Amino acid sequence: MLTEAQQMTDRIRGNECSIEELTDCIRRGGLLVRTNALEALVIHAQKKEDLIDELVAAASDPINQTRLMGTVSVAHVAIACLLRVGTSKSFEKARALIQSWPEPDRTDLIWYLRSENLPVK
Amino acid sequence: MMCKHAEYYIKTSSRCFPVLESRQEITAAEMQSLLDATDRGTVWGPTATLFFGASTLDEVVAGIATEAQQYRNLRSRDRGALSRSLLSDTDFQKMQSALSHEAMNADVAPIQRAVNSWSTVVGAAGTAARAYNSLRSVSIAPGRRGAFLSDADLLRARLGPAEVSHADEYASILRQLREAEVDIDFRPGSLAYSPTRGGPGRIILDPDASMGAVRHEFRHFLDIQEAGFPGMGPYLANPKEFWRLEFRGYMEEINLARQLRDFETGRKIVEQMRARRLELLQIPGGW
Repeated sequence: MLTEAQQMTDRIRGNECSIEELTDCIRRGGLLVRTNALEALVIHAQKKEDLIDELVAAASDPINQTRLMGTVSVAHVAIACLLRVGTSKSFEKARALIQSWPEPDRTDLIWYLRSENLPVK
Repeated sequence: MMCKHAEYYIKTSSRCFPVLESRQEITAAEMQSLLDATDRGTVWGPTATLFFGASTLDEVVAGIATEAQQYRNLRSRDRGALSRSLLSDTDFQKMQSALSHEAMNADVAPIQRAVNSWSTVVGAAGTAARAYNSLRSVSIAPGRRGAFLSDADLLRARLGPAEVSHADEYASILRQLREAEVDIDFRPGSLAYSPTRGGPGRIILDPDASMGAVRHEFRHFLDIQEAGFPGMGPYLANPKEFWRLEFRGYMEEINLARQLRDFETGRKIVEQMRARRLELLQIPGGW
């Protein structure tokens, strides 16, 4: 299990996965595979705007509220990815999600985004 | 076996009988077990009154305050004897199980406040505090304060809060975290250590966390500190390293369960660890 997860992670981070494979990983992978796939999708979403919706869906999916490390959840990472896409649409979607986030998870989300030097406003 | 002052508690617990009989959540067998235990003097007054000895929460709160005052009036030697006799009695353990059943059906918030106040009174009594806090943790039933904590902190039912069961070690850990300038946030229902790149990170601790849970989170801090505070990134990129971090955290709890010879809890922690492994490492189409 560990080796396969490592191999899949290496493929994702080495840009060896297609967009279809990445979205499959986001929907069906374990926490680490999902997180890495979300981060790998950022560069594609900068060119293909409809992939922003994939990130929004991941940020809103209750399954991604699971803690990844400390208070940081996969949903938090998805919002960070939206901010990293850096388009007006992705910022707008991220802002709306942050504003609607329930406490105390919102505090944790903002703490995480700041720790990653991402714009929170 | 019981010290003479325990007689008082037997008398106080006897007043709960009518209420106990009216509670439908308790099975007849459980009730008989409780009554038998009470007859043998193995039910502690505060324990009995906390959940069974009153028909309203106000009565429970008032009863706890009264018991606390009476407990305070005991000489410390007698407090210790009372507690030791309770801790060594298997009926006391059975009682905890029955109490857990009842606690699931209670609104624990007012009880919790009263217990916190009571705990302050007995806090200096060492063993007594441990005995009482094991019951206190039972009162916080799964679902009442979030599944996260009840799932995560399996040793709490056995040990009670680290602040009481391992006061010196707990204080030392907090001191080390403060000296390292870790952001410490006490938040009921949460346990977490979040790393930051180049900084000491942030720890979230339930004020009532067990020593097992505290050691688990502190282990994360120590391991990430040793790695030079690289932030989350390198761990996300390296599932083996991520898993090593998680494994070492869980092993703190498992080792503590072993020391306590609490093999049942140890097995549950191992199950919890396996579930976490699957949750982290699954790949699409795998397993």
